[in-house]
Amino acid sequence: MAVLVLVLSLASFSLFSLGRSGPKRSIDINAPLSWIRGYTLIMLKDSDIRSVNEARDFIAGEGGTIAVVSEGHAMLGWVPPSVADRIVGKHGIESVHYKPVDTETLEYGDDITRTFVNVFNSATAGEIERLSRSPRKAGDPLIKDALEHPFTDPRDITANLADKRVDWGEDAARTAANQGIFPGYSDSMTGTITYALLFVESNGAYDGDLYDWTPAAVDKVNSECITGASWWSSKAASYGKTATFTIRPIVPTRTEMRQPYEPILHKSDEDGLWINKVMENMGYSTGDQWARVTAYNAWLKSYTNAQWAYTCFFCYNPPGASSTFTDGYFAYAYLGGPYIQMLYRNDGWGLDATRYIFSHETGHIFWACDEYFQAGYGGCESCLPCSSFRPVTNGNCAHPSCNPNPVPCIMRNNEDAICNFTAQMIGWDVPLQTLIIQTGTGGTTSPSPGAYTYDRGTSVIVTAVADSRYRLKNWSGDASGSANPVTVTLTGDKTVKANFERIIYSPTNVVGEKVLNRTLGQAERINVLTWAANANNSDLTIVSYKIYRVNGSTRTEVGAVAAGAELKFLVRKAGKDTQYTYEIVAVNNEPREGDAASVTFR
Amino acid sequence: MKRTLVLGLMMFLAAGAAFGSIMLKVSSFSPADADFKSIYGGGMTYGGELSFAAGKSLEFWLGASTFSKTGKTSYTLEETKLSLIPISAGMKLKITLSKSISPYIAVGAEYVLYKESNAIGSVSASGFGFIGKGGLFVQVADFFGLDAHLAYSSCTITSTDFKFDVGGLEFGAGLVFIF
Repeated sequence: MAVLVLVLSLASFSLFSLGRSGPKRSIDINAPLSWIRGYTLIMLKDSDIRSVNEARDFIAGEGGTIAVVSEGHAMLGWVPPSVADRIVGKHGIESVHYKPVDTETLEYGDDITRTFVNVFNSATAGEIERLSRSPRKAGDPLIKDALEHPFTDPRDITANLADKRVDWGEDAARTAANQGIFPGYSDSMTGTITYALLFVESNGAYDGDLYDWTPAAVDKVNSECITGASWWSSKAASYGKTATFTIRPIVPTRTEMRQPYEPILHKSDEDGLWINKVMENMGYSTGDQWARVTAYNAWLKSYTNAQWAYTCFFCYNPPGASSTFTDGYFAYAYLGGPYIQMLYRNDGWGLDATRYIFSHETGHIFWACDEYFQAGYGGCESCLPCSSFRPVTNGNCAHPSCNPNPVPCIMRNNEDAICNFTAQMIGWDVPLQTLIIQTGTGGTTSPSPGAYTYDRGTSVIVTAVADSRYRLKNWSGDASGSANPVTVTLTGDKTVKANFERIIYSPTNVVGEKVLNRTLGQAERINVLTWAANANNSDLTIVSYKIYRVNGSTRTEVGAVAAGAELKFLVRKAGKDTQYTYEIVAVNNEPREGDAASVTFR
Repeated sequence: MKRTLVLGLMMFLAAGAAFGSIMLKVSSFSPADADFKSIYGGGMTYGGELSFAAGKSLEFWLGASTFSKTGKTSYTLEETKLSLIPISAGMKLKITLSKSISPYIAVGAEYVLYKESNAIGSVSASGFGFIGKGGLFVQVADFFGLDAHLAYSSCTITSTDFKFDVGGLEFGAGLVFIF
């Protein structure tokens, strides 16, 4: 908790230093919303967890991707229409939707089902995209919000699970072997993941009951956390992984959520006050909050038949209440679990950013490091791994000693992207992507033309190497332009082709002079241009030469001369004292103009 | 102004004449101007001359001729056409060596009309100059004689681009009808 003191100190310094303000980030967090494309709502007949899991697994087996399910009648994911045809009517699947659904006609009236439908409607109607692309409020950065919990005695966890019919013996051994780290709950963000949202409520016993969750506030948090889980699921799919979330909200009207404290009146490191009480209400009363929540997560895994589980405590702080705990913290998680602590309003981020904060904290649950750094304010401070559980280099850390040019990432500035480092930290091996390099006539490339495989996200520099008398014309395929070399970032399989062109060399011995053409009483000045054919064009069919006058930025064709004629061109009635610039180009039989030879004279 | 001068001279000559002559002449013209020579070279001129006696040895004369020639522009060697019409008037002093042979010398003023056309364009101009000549008149019959003469003229003309001399040396002969 020393970090909390540090943050509090920083905040106090900013508050009481007249004429100074703490550095704030300027973050571009409007990133592509790829997860919305193809977003699908699946309606189910049965809502018990067994039936839901059965439908989920069936859809996945048929080729669909399920992002989030619940103990409700709806699930969300990406199911192609061809798959939809095969699954409707089976395993309790009633319908598949791609367009907004009229909630008035919903057969099921439970809250979580309605929330799922509302999230789907917002996504498919463009509301989520509109909100995401509009300027977003931003609070203080989530600096040092990835905490390490103290050693917790595994026997406490075992005791909490004694009457829950959950066998924790194997996990206890692993926990002991890992010095208090609880492997087995969020080792990698793959497979099936259950997350519980616990809406902490005060019963007024100690602090007074100042703020009570409203149904709308609960629905908003549920919506944001469903959206955040969908985001992660889509990113997993883009890495060739499957991550399917099960949301289990425990609403504040449940007696278990009521405890004596009003959390927003406390420091964040006092979260044990309300967490221990809530967990005790739920039947987990042995040991500290980490032992109790871990035991609850074990039960969650067992109950929902999930591979991983974690818990997120939400405390209510409506407008009028502070947007942070009294020490300045508002959202944090323990690296590797077991829980996230968030507020309804998280500093200045705005309610619509809850999804990103939740996603960021979920990254920490699965061992992802922070990547944000701002001088004088803090953040990651090196490329070193932030945990020993999966010691992946934190190569996207924005600290100057690590990566001065970090890429957008959810773990950097809550951006709608993940980098390969984050992917590896959460257990996603980075897939290999294929780069096919091709060339046309007239040159080769470095690397040589062929097929190569690289880690996804790798940037490959491809240099075009032209043969004698050729040059790079342009790149085609997944690259464009004529810059050489070109950098290809392998966000997927890509093909680039270097197209070369035979150089049509400029004419040689170009001479321009102004001559007088006179009679007895009349005269005119004539610009006389002469040139010679370039020997390097001897193997080309040059059919003519074009003459351009260049005047500032204007280039105007003034005439042409057949290649077989005398290579001379007259421009009559020239100004006596005017300076002229001409360009002469050879034209081949394509016809294509070659390089220009320029001459300037007065 | 120019026309007034010419008419005045003719009236003066007509008033003082006792008798006169008309000469039809052809001459070989060699221009003095180097550019003239280069572009057009020399050529033949055709013209006539009207003379009135103002005494035993003195005559006033009025003449006109034409010179047309085709040449080449200096660089492009395109065709260019020149037309000159010199109009001259002056006094002639005759020396009667015998009844039929009379050498003479003459001086006068000259007014030249100049026109040139080619690919560059067309231009017209005119200028004043002088003429001096000497010759020999041989009277063959009472009303008819022959004339041989050598003349030199100089007349500077200013056109759009150049100032040049359209005069030169002229050697010619004529048929003279006496009245």
